[in-house]
Amino acid sequence: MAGDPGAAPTAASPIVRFVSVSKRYDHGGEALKDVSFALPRGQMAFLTGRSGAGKSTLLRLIALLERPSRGQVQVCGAQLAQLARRQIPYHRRRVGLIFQDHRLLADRTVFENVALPLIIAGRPAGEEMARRVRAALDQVSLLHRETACPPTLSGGEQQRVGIARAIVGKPELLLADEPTGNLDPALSRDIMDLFRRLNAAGTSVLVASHDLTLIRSLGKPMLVLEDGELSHVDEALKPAG
Amino acid sequence: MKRSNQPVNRRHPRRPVKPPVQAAPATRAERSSLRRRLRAYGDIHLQTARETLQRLVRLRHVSLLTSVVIGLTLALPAGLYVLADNVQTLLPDWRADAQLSVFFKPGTDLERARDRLREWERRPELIRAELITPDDALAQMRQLPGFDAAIAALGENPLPPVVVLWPKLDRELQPLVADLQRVAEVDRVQLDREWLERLLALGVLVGRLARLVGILFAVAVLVVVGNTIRMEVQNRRSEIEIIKLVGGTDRFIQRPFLYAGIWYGLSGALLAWFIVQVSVVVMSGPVGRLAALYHSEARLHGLDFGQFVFLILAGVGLGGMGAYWAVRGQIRAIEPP
Ligand SMILES: Nc1ncnc2c1ncn2[C@@H]1O[C@H](COP(=O)(O)OP(=O)(O)OP(=O)(O)O)[C@@H](O)[C@H]1O
Ligand SMILES: [Mg+2]
Repeated sequence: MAGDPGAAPTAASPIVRFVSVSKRYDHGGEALKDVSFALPRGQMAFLTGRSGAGKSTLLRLIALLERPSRGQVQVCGAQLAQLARRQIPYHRRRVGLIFQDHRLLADRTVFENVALPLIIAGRPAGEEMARRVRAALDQVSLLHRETACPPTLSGGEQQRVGIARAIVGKPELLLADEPTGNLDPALSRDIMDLFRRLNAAGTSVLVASHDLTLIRSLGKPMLVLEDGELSHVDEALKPAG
Repeated sequence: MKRSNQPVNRRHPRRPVKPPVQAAPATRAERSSLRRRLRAYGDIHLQTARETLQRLVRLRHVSLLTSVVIGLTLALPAGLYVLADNVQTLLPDWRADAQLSVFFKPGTDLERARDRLREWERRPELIRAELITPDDALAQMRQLPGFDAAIAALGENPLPPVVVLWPKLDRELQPLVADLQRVAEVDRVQLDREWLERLLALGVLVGRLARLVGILFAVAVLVVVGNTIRMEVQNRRSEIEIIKLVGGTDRFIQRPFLYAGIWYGLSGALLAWFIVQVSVVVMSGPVGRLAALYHSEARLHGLDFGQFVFLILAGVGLGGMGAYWAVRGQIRAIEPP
């Protein structure tokens, strides 16, 4: 497993830190402009803003699916700019990512989809793996669909498979892009409760969502993006210094 | 793990630890965990090989086509090789009674012929040499019915001295013949079974050809496997992207493709072996009859065990290499969108 280059993580260092990050896509405008914030370890926070404000872009930078045009992104104490190409997969394993568009393997069963991160990491294997996969499926109430293939599931069920896959490897940091976009209010609540429980158990969580009423009811700190700029940063997420 | 009453540590034992390993275990536990991981690693390979095979079996048409093309491609050089091998091992058997007759110029002094005989006897490629004097030859002829009167009519013995040479079986005879022909007293050298020599030379040629064709067709197998795997990677592009999204390394992603290449090579080699063995069976009837004409017990043989193993290894190696060559840069280049 790859070591962490860059600054050694200390208890005080935030799990995610953005320092004046800008992102300009090759064929497009600036998706993020001078974004700075810090997500403390063990914190749960929301990222909100209109469609096209740059929420997905921000999450993608954390998972190294994009590189910033300017500024620095630090995750788990590592400067992402200094991470070598071959270390990227190991970085992604530490970050559980829930995608807006699910991104499931269409020709594999729900069970196999959820098991993927464990198979990739090579552990745990066998019984222990099956146990972990079923525990994750149970947490999103999909235990009964483990042999189904994603195309036969509803949008909301697919989303929950994606969530199970993100949490099965017990990542340090969970990133969720509109995880409740396709869910009814009751199910949305359940998922948010699940995130809260994971957070209480130590996982840092960053959730991008439009659902302001749901967000407000949870009383967690917020980042608000407007046209690529952070228009509001709660005190808990302000960068130090 | 000491403060396990803290939920933070129980759920995420590795969270505060710098290198991401499970909770700090004792050395012995660590060693057994290493062994377990090694075994898990082997299991992963076995499992990948099996899953890849199952996938190929599911994709019946494409994979069968590829295997057949590889089989035919390997069968040609293997078949040529078997042909050359048969020619080279069977012909010396038929050559056992090959002899060279060296005719001296008429009127050559018998003593000179004897000198030459002693000289030739020392040559390493000969088993034995024998002088037939004009008198001996004439005596032999007399025994043939009807020749008696004719010989009497000749008066003087017109026959030259002749030396008969028995060459060793495994030697090329052409250089020897050329040497003999340069000797001043020699009129003419007659090589019995000359056509066998030509066939043998042809056998050597076919052997060379088999090697050449083998090299060219090895490249062809690389291209066929490479191309099949390349298309397979393209077809599974979105799957590869997703695996990369959740932290799959290039090596993890390319593993099943390498196994697919190996399976293609293995099945192709087995098919090539089958084709060659069947061809040998089909050909052995006519060859047996031909051999019988020469009072030979010679039988066509196929690939022996060592050659079979070589063919399989060649197939597996070429399949794996073709897949690796196709997959290397391609998987690296795929980035999650
Ligand atoms: N691959 C890309 N190439 C070019 N432009 C892009 C790309 N991805 C996103 N953008 C642009 O960047 C801006 C931010 O996009 P982003 O997907 O981050 O928004 P978002 O806040 O997640 O929106 P939504 O709520 O609709 O998901 C948009 O203007 C979008 O058009
Ligand atoms: Mg988005």
